[in-house]
Amino acid sequence: MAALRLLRMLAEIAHNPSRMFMKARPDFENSIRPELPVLYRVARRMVSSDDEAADLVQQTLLKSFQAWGRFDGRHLRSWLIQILRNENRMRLRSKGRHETEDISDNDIADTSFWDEVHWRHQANQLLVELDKLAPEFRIAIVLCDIEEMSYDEVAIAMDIPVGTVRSRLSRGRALLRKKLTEVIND
Amino acid sequence: MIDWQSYVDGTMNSAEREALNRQIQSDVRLQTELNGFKAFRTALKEKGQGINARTAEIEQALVQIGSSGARKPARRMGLRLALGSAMLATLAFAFFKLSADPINLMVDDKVAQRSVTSESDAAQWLALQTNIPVPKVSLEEDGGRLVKAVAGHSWASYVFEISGSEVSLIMSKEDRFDEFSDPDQIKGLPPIYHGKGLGWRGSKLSYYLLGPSDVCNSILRTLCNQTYKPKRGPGSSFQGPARAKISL
Repeated sequence: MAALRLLRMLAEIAHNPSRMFMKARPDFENSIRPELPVLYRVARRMVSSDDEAADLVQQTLLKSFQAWGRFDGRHLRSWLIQILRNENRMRLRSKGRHETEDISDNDIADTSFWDEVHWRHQANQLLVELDKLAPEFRIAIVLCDIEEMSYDEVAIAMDIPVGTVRSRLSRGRALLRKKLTEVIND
Repeated sequence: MIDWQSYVDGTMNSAEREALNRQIQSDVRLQTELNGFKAFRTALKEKGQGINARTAEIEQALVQIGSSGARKPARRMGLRLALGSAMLATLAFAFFKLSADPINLMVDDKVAQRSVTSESDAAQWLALQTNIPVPKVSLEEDGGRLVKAVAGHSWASYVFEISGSEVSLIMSKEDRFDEFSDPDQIKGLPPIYHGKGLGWRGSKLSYYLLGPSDVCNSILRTLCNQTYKPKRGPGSSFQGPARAKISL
């Protein structure tokens, strides 16, 4: 038995030498469970239906389980969202579509002010217009404003610098405000 | 345009913040603007988090993945075990190389052994058991006493007791002395190979002396004299004590 244990230990170390210096990895299921609602909500803003969002989350869970041994234990939510975004890209690619990244400044010619009344009255329209934003603006807003993740966490999840997160947020919100103002004026 | 984001999230520098605070206090329009920004974020958060998350369905998927995942590591365990085995084999090989005797005789399992009292009795018994023409060997002049004869299929051995220690002189027709060791050339002696013991080739047999190194060194010349006939030539006479190192 001792020899078998030694053999297993050596096998583990051979498979991943850094494990020698790592603490025991927390249980996958229990670690992931609290993140499920967030994952679903973020997925839902990436796809057009509840079913697609559920599928995307399930695929993300499968991939994250397979990669669990390589997870360094830091920023679990950001790590999961990275996988979610990759899975969404793969899904779009398999359908022959690509995530458009139209983030030019030309669209943001908005000088209107934030008006509290707009948001109260147009709350139902918020998500509709949010979903029309370019994915990179949309996801930045979802992670920061809806899920209240820090800029650092969002930067990791989106694999961009913190400064870019801030600028995308600012421009995304301005775009959203502009679109909603247009809806109100129509 | 005012960067409300920095103001709200607290990343605006203190000077700008103080200036903006003063402006907000005196400008109703800015107050409305700030409240509008906060209201926008609140409304977005409430709407965004308010969607039905279908967590039951996803949780079920999580449980399934977690439990089916038990098979995945099991499949990977085959690879891990293979890698582990390879590593273990490498370690074992390295350990063997480090701990193995670099020189040795062709020695198989022991077949028989016998307590003996005289050299001729031992030589006779060993020749009978092994078919090896072993020479009579005596260590009387070094204070050694022959106590045992041991026989294998293709080897024979004398066991001596000397200065409270036991030394074995193993004899065989075959050896592996050249594989990992260069011999010492000592005047008047055959080439001496070093391993855990001392090895040399006699006229008909190969010899391997095992025991405490100081004892082996002290009796080496006596044993060589009885098992090895030097070729006659200039400088071939036996002179002085032999002191060969034994590397353990």
